[in-house]
Amino acid sequence: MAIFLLLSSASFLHPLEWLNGFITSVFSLQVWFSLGVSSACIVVVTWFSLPHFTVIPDIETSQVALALGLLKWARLPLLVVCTLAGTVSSWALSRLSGEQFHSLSLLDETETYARIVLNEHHLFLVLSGIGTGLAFYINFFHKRNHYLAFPHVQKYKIAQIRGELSNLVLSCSWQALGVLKYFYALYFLFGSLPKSWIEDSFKMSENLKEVPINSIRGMLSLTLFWQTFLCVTCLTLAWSLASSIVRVFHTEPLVFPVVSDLDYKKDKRLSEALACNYCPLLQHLALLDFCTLARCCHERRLQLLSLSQPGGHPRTWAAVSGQTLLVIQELCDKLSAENWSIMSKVSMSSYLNGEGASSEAKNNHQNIFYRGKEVQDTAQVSYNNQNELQQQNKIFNLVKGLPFISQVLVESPEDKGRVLFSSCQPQIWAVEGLSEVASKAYTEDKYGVVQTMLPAIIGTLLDFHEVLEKHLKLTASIARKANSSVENPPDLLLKQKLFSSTKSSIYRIVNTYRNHLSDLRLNMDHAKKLHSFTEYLV
Amino acid sequence: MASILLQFPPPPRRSYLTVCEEDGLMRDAPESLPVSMLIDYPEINVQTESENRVTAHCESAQMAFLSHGRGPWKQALNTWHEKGLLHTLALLPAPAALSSICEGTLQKLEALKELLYPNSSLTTTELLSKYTHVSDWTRSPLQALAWHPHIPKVAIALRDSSVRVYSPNNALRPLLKHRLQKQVTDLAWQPLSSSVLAVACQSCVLIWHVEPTSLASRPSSSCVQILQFSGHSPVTSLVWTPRGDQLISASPLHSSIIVWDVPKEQGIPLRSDTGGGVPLMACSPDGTKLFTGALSPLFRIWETQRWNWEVWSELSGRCKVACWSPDGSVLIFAMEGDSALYAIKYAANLTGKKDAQSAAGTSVLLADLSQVSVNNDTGVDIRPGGEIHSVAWDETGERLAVMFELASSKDAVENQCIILHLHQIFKEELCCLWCGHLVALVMCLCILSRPKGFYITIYK
Repeated sequence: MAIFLLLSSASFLHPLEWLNGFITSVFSLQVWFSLGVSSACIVVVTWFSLPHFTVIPDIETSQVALALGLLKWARLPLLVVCTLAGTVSSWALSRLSGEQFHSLSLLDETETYARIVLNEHHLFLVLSGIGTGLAFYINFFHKRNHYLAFPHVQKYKIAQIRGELSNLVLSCSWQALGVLKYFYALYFLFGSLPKSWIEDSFKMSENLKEVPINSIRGMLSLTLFWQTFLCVTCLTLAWSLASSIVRVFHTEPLVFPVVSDLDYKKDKRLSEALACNYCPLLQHLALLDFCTLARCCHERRLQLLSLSQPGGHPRTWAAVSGQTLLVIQELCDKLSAENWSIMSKVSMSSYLNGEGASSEAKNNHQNIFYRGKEVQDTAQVSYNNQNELQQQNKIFNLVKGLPFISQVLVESPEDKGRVLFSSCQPQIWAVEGLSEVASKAYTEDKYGVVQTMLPAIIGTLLDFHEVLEKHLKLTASIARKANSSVENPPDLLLKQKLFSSTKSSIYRIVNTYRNHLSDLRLNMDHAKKLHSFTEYLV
Repeated sequence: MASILLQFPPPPRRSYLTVCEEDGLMRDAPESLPVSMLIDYPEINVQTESENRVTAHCESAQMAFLSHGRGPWKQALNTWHEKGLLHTLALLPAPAALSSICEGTLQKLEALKELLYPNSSLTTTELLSKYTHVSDWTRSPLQALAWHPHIPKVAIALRDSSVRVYSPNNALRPLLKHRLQKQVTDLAWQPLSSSVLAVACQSCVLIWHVEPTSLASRPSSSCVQILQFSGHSPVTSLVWTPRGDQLISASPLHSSIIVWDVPKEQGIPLRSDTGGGVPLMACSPDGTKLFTGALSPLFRIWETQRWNWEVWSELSGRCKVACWSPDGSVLIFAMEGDSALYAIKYAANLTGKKDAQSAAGTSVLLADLSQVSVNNDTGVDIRPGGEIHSVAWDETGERLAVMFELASSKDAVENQCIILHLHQIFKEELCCLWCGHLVALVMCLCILSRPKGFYITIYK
């Protein structure tokens, strides 16, 4: 705010006057009033945006879905609040921007008459607030500002916000320039509408002395541009800073108690938090905590592997490991189902395309037969309706071929898989945490608690690795982007991260138990899969 | 304290080479005798590798063109492009009366620039040879070398900026080349992985995925990931955290270190306000602490959970060498212009606690390795010792290999490497054994620890 004041009254030719004016205005009532109004707006906007923060990013499959996503019912209140708050805050800021922008009406006095005229500069500034609010709303969902990504470097909150600040200032000024570009264009075309409406309803007359802003000469005014740019930048910066603070506070690692003797604290334990399905954020934090404790908290690991008193059962470990294995198994099942559906689609499409070549069809037919009755049935049905289908396909392909429509309509075939991977961050932590605990248990597990679970852990990890590898091979059309400067959607990279974590987790266990792997009671299938990992140890 | 090199047994005879240690004594063999190759280890001959290829990578493309007269504006523009604004100003003609004032101002400006951005006036090659881990980087046929942490697989970078991977029992030696792979200064294999190799290049970090089962002798550029960060070049050190989940890169011209999440291709810079660039890094083997050097006489120790750091300052010179003990509790370092090893001891079992870093008290002098003159049996003077270039610690924590800086005088073209036994480090009596020096041109020091012992890799 102070910087806004300082910059808005900037006059580089008279630095002393500038500073003097700045200092006197800081203590005026007007400034504090505007400050109060704009901070109230920030609080309201942040409050309304709180329910929209999520740990699972939306994967929009096409441009239409992307646009429609902005108009969901649940999101509309935020849209209204954003535009209103934008208007009010820009009005509050306009009170500080100097005489020219101060109020909506001006007293036009000449020797012969006095009348009230419309101050178009003020109107322009306030209207730009609406633009700012809209742009904030759109960016909030489109640039995934509402997505809570957990950074891989867990700095303290203050350090994290300080690190983000310089980037935020830069991106907000760019964003402001983008907003102004559209706003200027819109105002040039439709600027006369709000002007005449206000003039009519408040019985004001047009200011004939000044150039109207919705003309080319009016648009070229530097003061106007500077003030609007400052106003938009300040608003965007304040709101983005608020939402980035919310993000940092949400993703701050939480420490859950591993064991608790008190009854009323039982539902705050790690195992309970891991099982919490209704709040994904809590489950994320619990798994993050599990991963951290597996990596670097010796005492908490001992608590995790302790036995219950009395009875001597490893209840804590059983609950935690069961839950984490379940998390991995769920995704594993979904992925293998997805793999089957992709494979059947591939063979189906080649089946339909290659109608003439009988040998090919035969091959495909065998494939389909191999994949089970269900697929075969659908294939049969589609074979009957082949001609009809081909006609439809032809028309559909023709429509799809048109340049604009193809952009809007076409979905990439891997979209279903992408949705699966968009929320795979918990699985990454689960995999890493389990493997860390398993390898640390080699020296730390006094009661042999982990040993009993070891075949299950290795088996799950191996199955998961196989399913993932198969999926990556099937969807290889989205190749790894070679250039990191291109912004990749989060799910694409999470997939790679998950795969590499799984691989190194298996290597970690293999590396620790290298001499004892043959003593484990693995089934034949798992032992075979494990062989490819043990091979590299000489 | 006198140099401990005086207490060492005599060095090997002339034209003899120390080959191994047996019962605490160093055995030597004649240089001409072909040393039996270790079983299971790849045999590498760098000369034959590189002689066929272009060796002129140091020559720039400029040399292929004749110079011709240029207009003053064009010249000024070119100078600005190549050397910066200050050099351009120096070119501009000034009136005779003002020229002395202009010159004075320019010199002051340049001094100021040097103060603010040290090393900015060095060319890239000078900079790299100053801060890389290989001794005499500009002339060495080997630019970097890295052993895989788990298997006897080695990657070496040659002068034409290509990287070759050698593995045992495999005649296939993948050759890694990429258009961005220029001036390779460091290599690092990812722990807990069989295939991922990070390559530090002039402008970026390249991540190669060299599958051991793949049959490609020239992996394509689809096997590579590029990690770039604006302002972060040239990259000279790379460190993987022992868990293998993060890669840390540093550059002597950039004050931040970058922590990369490699599969996500996302880098988070960790800024340090003082000290300038980071020419040196070392991550403790337990993964809890990270050492980062600086251009000024100070270094930092980061704890890797919340990334807080503490500074060790008031050193006598820039910290040049650093190395962690296998359990991560002792840090050994040496400084520029000094020939002694210092150590800092951290209390064990403090990981995860807030004051884990400051548990260390002060640094102690470990060993004085200043240059001495030793006569071997043929009467030739050998001068081991001097400024330390690099150190490496084996996995058992018992032996420390030390390599000295290439002596600048004419008669001492030989570079030495010694091994210290560290049984009783930090006790009153310091027991270091003279293990003889390898009379060879040691270029690059790298220890490979295996279950049955460890090998020193040298290039001669």
